[in-house]
Amino acid sequence: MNQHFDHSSEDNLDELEKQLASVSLVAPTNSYYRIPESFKTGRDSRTAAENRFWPWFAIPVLCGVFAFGLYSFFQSEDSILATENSIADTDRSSSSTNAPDNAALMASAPESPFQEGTHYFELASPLDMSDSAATEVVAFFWYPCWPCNEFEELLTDWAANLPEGVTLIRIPTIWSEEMRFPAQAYYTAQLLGVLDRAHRQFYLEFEKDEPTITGEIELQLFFAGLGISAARFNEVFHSAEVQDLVDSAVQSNRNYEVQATPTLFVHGQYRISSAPGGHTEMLEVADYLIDRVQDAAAQ
Amino acid sequence: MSHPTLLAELTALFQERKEQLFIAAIAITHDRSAAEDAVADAMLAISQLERAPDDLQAYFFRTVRNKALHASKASSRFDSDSQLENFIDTSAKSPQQKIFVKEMLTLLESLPIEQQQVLIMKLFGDLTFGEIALITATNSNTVASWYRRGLASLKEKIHEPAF
Repeated sequence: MNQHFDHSSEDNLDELEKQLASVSLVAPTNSYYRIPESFKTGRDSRTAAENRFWPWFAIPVLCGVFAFGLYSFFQSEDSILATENSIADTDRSSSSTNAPDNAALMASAPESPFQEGTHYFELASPLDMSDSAATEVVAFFWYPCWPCNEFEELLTDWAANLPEGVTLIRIPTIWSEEMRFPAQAYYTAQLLGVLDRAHRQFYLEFEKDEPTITGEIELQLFFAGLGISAARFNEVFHSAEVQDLVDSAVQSNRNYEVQATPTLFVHGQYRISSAPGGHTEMLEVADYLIDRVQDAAAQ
Repeated sequence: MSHPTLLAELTALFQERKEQLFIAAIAITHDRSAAEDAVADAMLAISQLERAPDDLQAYFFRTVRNKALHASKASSRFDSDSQLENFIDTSAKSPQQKIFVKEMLTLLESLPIEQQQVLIMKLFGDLTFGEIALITATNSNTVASWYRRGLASLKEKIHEPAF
């Protein structure tokens, strides 16, 4: 136990809040508030020496450079964009560095905010998505998994704002026989048309440490609370259609080689299992990869 | 050459949000100089774009977060007071209070990153749920949820027996 925390308080949560609220962050240094000079002048970063000599070099070299520049312009398809890190380092030590190498900048593609191997992984064997009319994002989840529960809130908001041509498909994760039951509950709710009322609640009911639904009877009682009769529940829960959906989910788990939850797959090509920036960043990575897939399809 | 309109907008945004930008960065880096660098690097990186992003404010916060994550020196080992003093204002803290703060920071490190950052921004940085929602590109309800769960998790960890 933490000996410095007051355990005698009846409302420990409020007391904890008060103790933590007495802590404050250190303030930034004065230099933090200074706007870089280049922002005020709008000029790119060049040393003072280069700035002084610029007028003298302009006329003698202009003709030759102009001709070479025209040739280079029509040869290159890349626009001049500095990579984030190289220009940031150059500008922050403006007294010591030379101007960015324009040839290198022209040759380099814009740096993406997310890196393969860190924020996402390319599937070694991409899936055949030729039958899919939309860009598919598949979200694998498992009701007893609490990170999935936390992720679900963000995922729902994100899915509500998907652009046209992008669709989200949720698939229960099934790696073992005991994982079939929550999946069966999911598809039963889907076929009964009550998934929107059941899905979030299932995360609480199937909660790992203290589940309230452990078998068919509790599940039937849960659906009764949603106005579904026992007969109707039994009819759908034991139907071949639900079994087919569960079997299909098992196959999908194998096809995608799902290893963790929650996990997103973008159009059968990319896997997002986690991100340094947490769940919020997973969805930003998904947005980035959706754009990439759609750009590639458009070419 | 940087676009003058983008520079002007970026400068104005920095002036308006400089406190929140710093708090957003230090909530990740746990180090003042790394946080300042993250904000400065983000600002310079955005200034080099050819055209302004559709939502400059959201883009700025996201870039700061990415820079802070890459430069993160987050550590639960505040072995020296100077390490702690680059994160927390300890000017009025007694030795016992400093020990409490170090222990709380160690427990915070064990929380999911969203809860960790929200607790730091809300309790230490005194930001509102609305401001944190802006920084994390979510909504206030989600932020409030992370906050409540984070505090509840901290409470559980405080009462866990130490072996």
